[in-house]
Amino acid sequence: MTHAMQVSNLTAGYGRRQVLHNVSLDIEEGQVVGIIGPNGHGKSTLLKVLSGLVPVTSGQVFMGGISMDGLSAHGRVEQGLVQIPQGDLVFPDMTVEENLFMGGYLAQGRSEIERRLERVYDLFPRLAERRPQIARTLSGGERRMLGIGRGLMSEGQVVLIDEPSLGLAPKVIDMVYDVLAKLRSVSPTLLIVEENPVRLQGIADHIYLMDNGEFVWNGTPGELSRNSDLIATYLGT
Amino acid sequence: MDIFLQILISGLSLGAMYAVGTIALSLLWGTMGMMNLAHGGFIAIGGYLAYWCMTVLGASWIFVLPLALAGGMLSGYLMYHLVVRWMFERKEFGVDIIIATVAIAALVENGLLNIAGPSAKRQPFALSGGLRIGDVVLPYQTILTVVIAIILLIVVFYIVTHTKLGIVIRAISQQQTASRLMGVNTRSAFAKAMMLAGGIAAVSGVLVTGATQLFPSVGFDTTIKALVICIIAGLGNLRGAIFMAFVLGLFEVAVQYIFGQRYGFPAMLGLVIVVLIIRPNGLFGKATVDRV
Amino acid sequence: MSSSAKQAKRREIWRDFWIGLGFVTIAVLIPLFDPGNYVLSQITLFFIWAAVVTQWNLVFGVAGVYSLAHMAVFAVGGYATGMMGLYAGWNLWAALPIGALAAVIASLLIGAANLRLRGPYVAIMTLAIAQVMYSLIITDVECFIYQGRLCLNFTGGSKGLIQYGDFGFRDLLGFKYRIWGDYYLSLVLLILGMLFSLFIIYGPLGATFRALRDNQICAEARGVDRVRSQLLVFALSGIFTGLAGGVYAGVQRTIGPDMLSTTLLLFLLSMMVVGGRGTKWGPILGAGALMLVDTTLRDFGQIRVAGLSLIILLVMIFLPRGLVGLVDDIFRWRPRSRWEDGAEGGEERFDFREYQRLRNPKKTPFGTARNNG
Repeated sequence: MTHAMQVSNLTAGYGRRQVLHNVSLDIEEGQVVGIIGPNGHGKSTLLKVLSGLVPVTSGQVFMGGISMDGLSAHGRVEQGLVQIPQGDLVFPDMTVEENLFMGGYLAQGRSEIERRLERVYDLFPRLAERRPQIARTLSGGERRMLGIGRGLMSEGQVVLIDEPSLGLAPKVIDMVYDVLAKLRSVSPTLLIVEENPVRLQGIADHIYLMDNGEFVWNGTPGELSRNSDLIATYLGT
Repeated sequence: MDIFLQILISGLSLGAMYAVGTIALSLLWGTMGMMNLAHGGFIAIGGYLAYWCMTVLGASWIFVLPLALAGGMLSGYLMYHLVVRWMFERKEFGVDIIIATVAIAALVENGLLNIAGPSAKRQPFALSGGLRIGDVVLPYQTILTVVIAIILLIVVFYIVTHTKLGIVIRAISQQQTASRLMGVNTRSAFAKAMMLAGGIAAVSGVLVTGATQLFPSVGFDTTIKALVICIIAGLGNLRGAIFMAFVLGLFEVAVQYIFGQRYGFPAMLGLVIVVLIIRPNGLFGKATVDRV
Repeated sequence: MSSSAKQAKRREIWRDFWIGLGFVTIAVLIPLFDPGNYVLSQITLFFIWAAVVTQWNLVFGVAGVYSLAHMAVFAVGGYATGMMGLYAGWNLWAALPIGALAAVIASLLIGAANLRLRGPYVAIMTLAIAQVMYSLIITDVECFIYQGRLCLNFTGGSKGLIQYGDFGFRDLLGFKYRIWGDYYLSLVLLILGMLFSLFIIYGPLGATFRALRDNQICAEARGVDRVRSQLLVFALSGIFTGLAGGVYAGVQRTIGPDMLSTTLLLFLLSMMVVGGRGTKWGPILGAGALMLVDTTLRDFGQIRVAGLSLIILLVMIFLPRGLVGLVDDIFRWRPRSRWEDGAEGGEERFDFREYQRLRNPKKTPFGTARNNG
């Protein structure tokens, strides 16, 4: 198997405050990897470091054998590394279609964009209905779908998703995860960050547990569910 | 009736000038959170380029506007790469850039003063004469100003709503982080926005100086007024700013006619202050969270 | 406050005391070496500008209200003092408090007009207010009184006010030492103004102003009354600014609309920026540095403004914390900079500019290199 993404000994943070310590991670092509752990322990920071929003202090990130060091956020998108950010970072005053268009910003040619739009509309029929609507007037669930759909527009090889279930009603979370499950067949390698492992059980191939900026455990979802000590210690349930 | 018509005409042409100024300023505020006090420098550069083009080079008037446009765009590009990009990274960018652009404005003014001298010049790119409507004369220069201002407005609106650069500019102003995650190169977008703003300002400079006169500090007053108009409309709201530009242009001219020339701007500013005390986010603005 | 923090504060106060004492000693002794009238008058001007900038710094740097109308407050003080001398025939010493009062009122009005605006908006509005004042003065052509057949405008119009008297040092000290009087008066002004500003910065008011500057929402949530604080800082800064205006009017024996010119605004702004805004000694350090530069540039009068602008730009790019920041870095006192205070938001308060700055640490060599440690 080939490596889609390799992270070795990554240390990073904000100013003098280090958030991540010596984090290493391996993702194989076509794999869905989940990262779980309590809030405020560096999961989102890790994604931001991977996508180039937060600078690396030391360590390296490779994607398909290419070093990401020194690449800006937009440079990484060009390499096929896409992050779907946490919360509703949609463009509030643009229509749904314009939002999606921005997602395919780097795509060349009208027909290519049309093709990708069709694909996203297939995955999210709801968005197709809402095409001309201003994003700010969408419901929370619709906005999340728009955020995910927009991220898929760039058709990256590796997609990083930051807490797709955050702040959504259980029913909507189900819908979101249905789509993510479908994605496995279409695309590519996923890295999903969640606070709680329950949602990842059915979808992830491998799970990492992050605590205080370090990976303290990793294994398959099955191993995790059998390890009740671990769950009690770190996830408090 | 004639006085009313006269006020209307002067007010509209003043408003058109403010409108053009506010476009360039809103553009930079919206995308970069940058108040560009060097806008007046662009105006002066445009005016002097036009003057030199026609008097020193003796070139035809056809070249004036393209030259001003190119000069303004180049100035915007230089300003971004020499000054703005080094500060953009800071938390206090909002105020740092005001200080820096005040300095740039003074630098440009002083440069022009040394090159061209302090005396006021007549802008050769101007139309004389006018259209008689009853007892009122509608100067051709006013018509030219309004027409070019409207063309500029249409072009900018087209760029913002229909081009890739436009959608990127809107994306950045709405959600900068997300734009970067979509693969937008924000730096290059900022440079382009500044070039656009510089070009618009320089072209408007040719028109402003055609209506008044040409001297190194010609753009300063217009800049402050246009910024004030942007604020009262709610910064970043292009349509509101253009509307307010005409309203306040008319208001200023009306006050000037009734109470005397010197009270035009003070009255306008007083009105703006009162409105802002009632509506601190401007007339058409929505409450926003600080960018910092 | 913990005892170690108290100790640190006490150390800092002592440090400020020794710096101040050293400065005052040198300043008091300079005239004894008879450096000539030109130098003395330049230093006198330096004292006045430094006094103005220390007060401006309270509003702009400490409270973070980006007012650009401070020279208008100064001008009001100067004009009011001159007018009391000219129209009411008052002695200028008696007119000084009136000048200060007028300046406080003007400052309060400016503060009130901007109460509901934030950040950069304030800068634009205050600049516009100053500009309006300037244009109203230079277009003032109505006759207020007649002096013989000469028509005098209320504000003196574009020529300014003259012949309202001075502080009487000539009669008191003789022609030769008149300038000493001006010199020491301005020095006293600066010392009092500086003490006043230190008093505020160290006191509870300073803490309030800083809290509002660094995080307005948080400060207000903890019960800080922003309206009251903003009016207070404008009023307080008006006192010594108005006095400085009066002293300037008396020393120069003329006051005109050039007090409101962009050139002078730029000059004083560069003092604050070059020194380091929001710092205690920045205003004086910056004023000194800029007076030196200005005296040098005076021989190249034509490019004076260009030189000042370039200095501002270079300092803004390379030394965003000013000379005081540079000195701090050299001596490694390093009280936590405002910047780092803001950066301490944790991972969820990610800030794009912070990121850019960290990503490209070499971009502002002096300003950011220290943040990597």
